[in-house]
Amino acid sequence: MMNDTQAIELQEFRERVVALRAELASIGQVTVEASERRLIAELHGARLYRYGPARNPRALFIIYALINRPYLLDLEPDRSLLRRLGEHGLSCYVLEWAPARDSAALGLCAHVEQLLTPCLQRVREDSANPQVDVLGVCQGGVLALGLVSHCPTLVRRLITMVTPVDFHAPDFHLARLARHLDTSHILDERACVPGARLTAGFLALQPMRLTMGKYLALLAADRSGLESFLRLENWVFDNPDHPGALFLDFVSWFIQRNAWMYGGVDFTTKRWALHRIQVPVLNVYALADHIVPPASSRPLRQLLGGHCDDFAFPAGHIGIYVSRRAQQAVPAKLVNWLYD
Amino acid sequence: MSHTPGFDAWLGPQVTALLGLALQYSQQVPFSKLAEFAAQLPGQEFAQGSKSAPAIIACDQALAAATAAVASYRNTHPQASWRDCCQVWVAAFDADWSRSLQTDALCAALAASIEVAVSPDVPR
Repeated sequence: MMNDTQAIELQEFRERVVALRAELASIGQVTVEASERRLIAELHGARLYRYGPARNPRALFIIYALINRPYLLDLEPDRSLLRRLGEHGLSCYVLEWAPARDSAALGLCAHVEQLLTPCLQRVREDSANPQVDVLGVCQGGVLALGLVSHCPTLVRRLITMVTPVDFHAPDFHLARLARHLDTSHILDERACVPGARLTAGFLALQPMRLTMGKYLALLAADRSGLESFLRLENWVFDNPDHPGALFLDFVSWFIQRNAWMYGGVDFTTKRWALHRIQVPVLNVYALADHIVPPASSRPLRQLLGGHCDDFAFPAGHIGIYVSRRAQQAVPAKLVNWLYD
Repeated sequence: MSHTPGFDAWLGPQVTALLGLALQYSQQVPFSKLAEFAAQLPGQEFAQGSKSAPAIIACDQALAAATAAVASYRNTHPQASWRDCCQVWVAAFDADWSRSLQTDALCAALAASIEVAVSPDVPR
């Protein structure tokens, strides 16, 4: 039975939950406190933004995943990878993908050749650099590897962050789950995968921590902490729909055939192969990543050979971008590796 | 609240869920009842998957592991707070669930629940 101490603690807990709900309700709409940016190109509905000045020798083209939205990199002043990189003198170029319905028919090859390659050219022009640095995030890292393989002479250095390489790594639960998808039944009437379904897949990986556990931690948060939480929570449930053709190609080449581990991606008339990537690569992964486990990212170094460095950081898949510890350590590491 | 519609539908019930858990705890309802509770949460995709046999089995196993973990924790930490017990429960559940995710049966069941939700009228 419950003792007196537990009864008091439980009563306090219940009161705190009630107060928390009221406090959350009083906050209302939270907005992302984004940095200043300039639109520099539009292509097939996708938008390329620049954060920082033009004609900057320190230019970084960031390729974000299509699974969720890139404002994770710029949630608020104290939690912004883009701001930290800007403080180190970088101009970051971030591509916001087109709405899925506008690019539903563009597959893997088309996304790289018709979207990313022209954007890379635009970044070269705008920054006045013959070669630029590229950073790929998660699924965007897979596309970045394809981009550098496709046009290896236009990139100076490549950073992959929390990027899956071995899709058959034993603890890669998300990939295992996706391998069981019947792809003939996954697209909606617009030939897209609804974002809410992707969210469901992520939640199924850690159902209790991701639906109840995180609210326990919230009980101790102050108002500023609650607002930060809501910004991130909005992002978590703001997954866009995914273009169908790309999704099917991604499942076929990587989830099912594990293409990087077996030589690359063979299109009818061309091939993306990791051995074509001769630029220096920094492979950044998160040691507590439950979405892309380290075992999936680590093989990149062996596949690329001696010009790939690893940087393992003690955080999760999202924490590596937004945690306070990461805000101090990760941007500094990226900048040091790029320019030292 | 005036956040995004999907978010509003999610957060309110989740915070209410915590309160519900607290009430259950106060009435000494076994933690094993949490499965029924979780299945009632609106928008709980995890519960959709649990309608299939492999997911029910995995859920039962995880519930047993979580219940045992909390019992053990409370034995060794008699003054443990409610919040600490909840965290132990959550971590133990997900750890066991994660082991089940290494089986094709559970992954197939969850994948099927995602497909059905996208195209409910597609004959299979």
